[in-house]
Amino acid sequence: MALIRFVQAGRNATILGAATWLEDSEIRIGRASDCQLKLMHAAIAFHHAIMRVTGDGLILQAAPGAVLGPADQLAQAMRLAEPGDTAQIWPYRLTLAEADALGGFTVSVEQIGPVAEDEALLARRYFDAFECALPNVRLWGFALSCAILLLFFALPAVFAPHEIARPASALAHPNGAPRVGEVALIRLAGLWNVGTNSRAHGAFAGNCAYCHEQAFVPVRSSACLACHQGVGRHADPAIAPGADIGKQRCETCHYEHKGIMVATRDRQADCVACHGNIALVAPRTSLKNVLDFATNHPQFRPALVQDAKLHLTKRFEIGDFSAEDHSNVRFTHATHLKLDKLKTSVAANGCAFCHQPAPGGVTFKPVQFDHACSSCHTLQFEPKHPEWQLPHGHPEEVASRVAGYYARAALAGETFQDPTSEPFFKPGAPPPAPAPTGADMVPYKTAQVMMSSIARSLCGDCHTTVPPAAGQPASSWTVAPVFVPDTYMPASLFSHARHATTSCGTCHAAKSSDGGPVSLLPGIATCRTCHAGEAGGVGRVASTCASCHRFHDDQHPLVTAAAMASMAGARSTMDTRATGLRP
Amino acid sequence: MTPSPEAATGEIHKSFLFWKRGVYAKCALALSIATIALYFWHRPAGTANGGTLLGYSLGVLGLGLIMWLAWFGLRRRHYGGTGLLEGTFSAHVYFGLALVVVATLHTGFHFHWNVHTLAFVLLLLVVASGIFGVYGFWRYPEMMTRNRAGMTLSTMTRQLAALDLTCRQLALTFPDEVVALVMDATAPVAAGGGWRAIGFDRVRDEKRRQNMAVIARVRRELVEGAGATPAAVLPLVQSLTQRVTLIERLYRDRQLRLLMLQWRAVHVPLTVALLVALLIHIVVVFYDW
Repeated sequence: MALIRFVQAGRNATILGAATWLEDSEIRIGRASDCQLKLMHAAIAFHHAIMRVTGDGLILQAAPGAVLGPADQLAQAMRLAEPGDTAQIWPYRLTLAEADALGGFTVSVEQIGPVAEDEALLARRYFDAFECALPNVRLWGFALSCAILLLFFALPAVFAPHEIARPASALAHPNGAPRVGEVALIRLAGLWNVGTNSRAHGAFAGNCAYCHEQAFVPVRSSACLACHQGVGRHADPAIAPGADIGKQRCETCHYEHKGIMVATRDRQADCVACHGNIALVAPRTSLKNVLDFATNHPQFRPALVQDAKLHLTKRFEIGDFSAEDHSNVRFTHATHLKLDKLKTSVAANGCAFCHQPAPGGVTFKPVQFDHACSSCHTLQFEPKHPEWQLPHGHPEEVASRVAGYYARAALAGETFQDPTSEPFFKPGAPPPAPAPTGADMVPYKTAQVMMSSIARSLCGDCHTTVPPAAGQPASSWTVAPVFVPDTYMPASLFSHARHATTSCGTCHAAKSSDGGPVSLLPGIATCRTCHAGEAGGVGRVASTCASCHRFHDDQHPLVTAAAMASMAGARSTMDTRATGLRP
Repeated sequence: MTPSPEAATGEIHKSFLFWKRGVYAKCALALSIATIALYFWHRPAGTANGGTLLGYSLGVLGLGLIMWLAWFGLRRRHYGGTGLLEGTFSAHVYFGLALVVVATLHTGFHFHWNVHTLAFVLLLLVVASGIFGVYGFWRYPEMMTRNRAGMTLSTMTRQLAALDLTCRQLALTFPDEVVALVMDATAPVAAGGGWRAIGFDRVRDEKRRQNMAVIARVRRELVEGAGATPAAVLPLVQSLTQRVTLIERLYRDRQLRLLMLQWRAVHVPLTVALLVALLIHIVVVFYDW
């Protein structure tokens, strides 16, 4: 029977049942209360190991599932034979001491590692885990800023402007589709683009420098005029110096990057600023003041023909009884629309029976004799031969045509009853001279037809005819030149097509029109039934000045040839962009 | 009698909104109404946009506001975060809100995929995060105080460490299965990453479920398996339960602190980004004038 005792070494060992001599041949080591050596550590099992005394010393045998240390030399069994031999059970080191006189084994137990975690360290770990460490806001801010600078500034700045030197057409692939790289460049430039480009300028939308020629300088008009060379002036600078748009920027009124259409300034106030008191800016103008279409706009002044040959017109106010139109056509709608035959045709075809819209629908094609008049107005001059007609539109051929007819008749031996001779004559009076026959008949009948037909019944029905000068033969009767303008209000943008939803009679009182155009053209009151001023109105269309008037109006009475010449001069001084390539 | 620190906190963290009877709220409201009125009164040639006279004016006003609002953040930092001037903070909040009106009118409601709209979106995000910050300042301090029950974070974590060790120590007298369970249960908790921790309730509920399951198993193990008496088991189960309560407090505390402070992780970097985008916006607009 050997004796074993465990002694505590070091300060921290916490063993139970130490220092007592044990007589057992098997010593139980573990956490359980029935263990002779109780080592309280979480890694040590309830019954961790058994120590036996043998002839070779002490054998330490681990329980199934338990191990003996140290950690780098784990074992199931260990032997403590010589004094100084050690074994380890987790933080405890067992050392065999020198045998004492009685031959008992003394095993010193020393705690060489911590039994429990350090509380302060554990608390620190918990503190670190539960404390909110905020992200490094400076770092994130810096990183974000760098990303934005790179993507939104550096890339567009470096790559997009490389397109400057190329003309717009080079942006497009020969087949029309832009190349991939170009799409990328356009997208990059788009990061600076303040808004959608208009369709018209979309072809060079990726090429900022095409219009923005110089950095930090607003777009110059020269950039616009390089393409828009035909743009007209507003007024003759000689008459209205303030209206010289050569001194203004296109951008004042036209805005790009505002959607698929180029936005254009359209404000009544801008126009009224000058036109409200036009004499201040253009003392010599014939224009009248205007404030608003609905409330303060002059009555219309159609341009009536004064000289059909020279196409000279003069403006008369609607309702002006002194208005005269010298288009040299005698025609009234009132007379014609009363005719039964015409009533039927007009009822079937409307005004289009005579009036065909011109291409574009703004105006109408000129009314043609062959189309509109000839079905009623035949130009036969001799009832015996209705197939012989006067040539319409060729007054210079009329006399020869008539003379030719009678010459042919004379050769054929035909005679004609003289329409001027009376079948009865006064008793006692000498009988009228018989009509000439044969060769004499030709000049006689020709003069007769020219007198009656040209001057009165045939040509003269509709045309102003001009009698022969004194001493000239009757065959010199002629028809005055005709000029019927396609519009009587050249300064307005009125389009008949745009008003096709309403009937002609709404504006044109054709049935009661018994004069020239003056009696047929509507006055401002007619327009005002549908059109209000800029402010609009209930059931009425809001209409600004630009609704009816062009700003760049080369045809405007005020825009003279001199003004156009000065415009052309201004263009020639502009930069070299007109060649298509920029410096 | 001096008011308790908690009561004082409760006053200060809300009172900035009503500083001097909300004088800055009124000023900001007046500014907003005035700019809206100007916007509708102004009839620009073409459509309303940042390039008209009013557009430029609103842009300059907005730029001024942004610079001043950002300056507030720098100054706050300069004062070490504690010298918060109540009145300035009040103005920061209300003029920040008015800035949204000014900036939106400056855009003329034109938005595209470009640097200009980027600046506007960044501005909206900065203001939105600021609004959340104000909401947090308004709401969470009281909830945090209630949750902490007079403790500080340091106290709570030290208590938790002590409870962990107590549980493990108490478990040592019980069989191996119980020790293993308790060791698992008291393994140090990882609180989780910054943004994920805002999924707080889900994380917390999961932790609670795990912990309560462990406690139930420990009880069953002890009472049914080892045949220990309830009296012997009580200290361990009590400690484990205390520990669960404490961990829940800690999770809740972290959640509330994140809610109250994490908005700055958006507010500050985006403000810096906004200033950069704004600079690009201004340069580009005048570069391609």
